[in-house]
Amino acid sequence: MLVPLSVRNALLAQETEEVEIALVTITHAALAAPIRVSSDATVRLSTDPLRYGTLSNGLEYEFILMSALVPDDQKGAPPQTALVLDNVDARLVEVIQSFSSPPAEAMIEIVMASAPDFVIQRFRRLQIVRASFDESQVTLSLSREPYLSEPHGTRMTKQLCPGLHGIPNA
Amino acid sequence: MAYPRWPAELPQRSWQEGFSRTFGDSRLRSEMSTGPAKLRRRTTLAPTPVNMSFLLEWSQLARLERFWIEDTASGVSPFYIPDHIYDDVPMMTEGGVGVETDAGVPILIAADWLVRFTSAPTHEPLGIRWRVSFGIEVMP
Repeated sequence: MLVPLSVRNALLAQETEEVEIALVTITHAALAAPIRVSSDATVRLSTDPLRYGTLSNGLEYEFILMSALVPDDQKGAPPQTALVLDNVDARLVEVIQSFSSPPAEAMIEIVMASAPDFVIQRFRRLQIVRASFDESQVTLSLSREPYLSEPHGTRMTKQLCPGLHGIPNA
Repeated sequence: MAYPRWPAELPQRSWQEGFSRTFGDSRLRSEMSTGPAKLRRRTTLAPTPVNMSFLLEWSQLARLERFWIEDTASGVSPFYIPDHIYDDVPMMTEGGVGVETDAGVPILIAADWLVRFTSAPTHEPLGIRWRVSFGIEVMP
């Protein structure tokens, strides 16, 4: 995973003024417009109603209480991550329970608050595969489609793959 | 929906006693097992906590109660209150000279805070009046 030098410097520094932000874009066929949320209150988007968020590439990402993990990189498994949102509104659970169609797609972008237009890392085509909740938190599990566990499509018969069956020089 | 203003019937400035303001703190401090801790910013914006106290008449206390229950919907809605640090302060040049209009009238700074209650107003009797104190946070 390639992390730019400026970001690495900020992560390792004794003190840093850099704020790492996770921008999440959730798209679904049933949504009229994508949901865009940010993990940081970078600017005041509007005063009335009072809204905070991040402006990145001309798009508004609403600030919500969120913790996001960088997608992992395990052998033989698609990258997985989880978004943990504070369950501040009962409607969140209603929305989560209402999904019956194909899973919503999510994209996570990591930016720095000092340069919100410059995307450091982008994780695309993540699908919301599982959503769990309790009275204080909503956890959305994101994963890519597990291409590695797809069936190959042909059967490994003796005729097709003799080497697999110990038949030499077939 | 416009946010309410601090009622004109109430004093527009807090008592000196009981007023305090703390800078907004958005830092994340990570303690190391030895040596100095590491510091970084957790978020960009942070509200500024302010404590205020007022000396109110009976009628003013009733007005405050209505402000709490109705205008701010039991203390959840943000509201405007005069900036207690910079409002009504003469504007100065770098050299500390007051800026004036052509007629020689000093130009004053007009500033408001957009705030929310962080603690509900506590009121205790003080003679025939009420001492009211509460905490607010100035929204960034």
